[in-house]
Amino acid sequence: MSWRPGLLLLALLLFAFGFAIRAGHDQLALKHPVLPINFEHSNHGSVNRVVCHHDFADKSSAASATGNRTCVLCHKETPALALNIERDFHRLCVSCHLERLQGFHESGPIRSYKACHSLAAAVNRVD
Amino acid sequence: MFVLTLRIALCLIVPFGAIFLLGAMPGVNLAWDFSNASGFIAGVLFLLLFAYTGRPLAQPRHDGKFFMVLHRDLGLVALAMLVVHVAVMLVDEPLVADQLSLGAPWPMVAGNAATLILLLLVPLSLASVRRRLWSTHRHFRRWHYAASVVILLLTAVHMIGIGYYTGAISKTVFWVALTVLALSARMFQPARPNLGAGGRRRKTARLASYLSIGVLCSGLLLAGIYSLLGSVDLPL
Repeated sequence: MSWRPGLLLLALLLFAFGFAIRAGHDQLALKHPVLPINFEHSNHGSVNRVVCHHDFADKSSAASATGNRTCVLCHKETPALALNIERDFHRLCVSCHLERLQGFHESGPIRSYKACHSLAAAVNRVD
Repeated sequence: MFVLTLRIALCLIVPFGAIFLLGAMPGVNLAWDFSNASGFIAGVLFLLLFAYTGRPLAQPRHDGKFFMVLHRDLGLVALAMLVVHVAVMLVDEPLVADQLSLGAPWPMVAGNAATLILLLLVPLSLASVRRRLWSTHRHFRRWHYAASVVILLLTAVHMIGIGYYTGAISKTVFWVALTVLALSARMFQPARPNLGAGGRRRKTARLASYLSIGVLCSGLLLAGIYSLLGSVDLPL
């Protein structure tokens, strides 16, 4: 049974490696700066306000550590939300745009970094 | 050889059609769709490499070197398709570089890790290098298989997690089933293929290279046709 200590060591090393990766990922995700976002309120007049401003509907005391209530900054400054900020905002935007596109309606971009995040297109117009 | 070509063609076209064309998602733009279709074909080729492992099969009746060259060259084609996937996307959308860090969403981290492992695995598996690094072929095969399994699992996490083209549950189940099938391919292969009467054709390794070049061209063509279809106003 000489292979058992080796296998145990390998399992421990893999666990430590996974833990380090997870910690590194979380740290980098939290430090990652917010990308500029090309979002125009006037284009989204047909969307129910509480779809995005959910804190008004769910009566949550949504405010970041610095008391910020703007959508991106509140998510960015709340550690539990900041880890999934990309996933959550992409889902919010893409699901709606995709639904419109599949219904043959005019729609915003579904997968376009240039259209959504380029500095030229956006001067951080998120409210 | 004809049967092998047909099998490989079907192995490329059936998953591609099932995931990209059935219940198709709207096209994004020419380069983006081409890039993702190329990446998908690279993924299908990873699966295929578990079936064509380099061990001689009963069909086609070619010498052992044919199968080794086929495995090596299909691996190189998979790497080439992966390079196309990444390069076209970075050129078309340079901000995608932002997704190459460890802090990117997990499905992207999985894709990046799979790419890094593959970039290491391919040169280390070349005959001249592996003979220096591993004392026996058996040891090399173990490490090669383990690294390949990790690549396959990370690829599945990447494709299912990103989930634009593979978004539907049925497509996720389909890809998981293909991954499981690839991982269990070893169990279906006999230790020694039943050859029946007659010998094998000798010096056919070059045919495997030609076949792999054909796979590369077909893959690029398939990705190109898909990106064109996705960009026209068909309900795709």
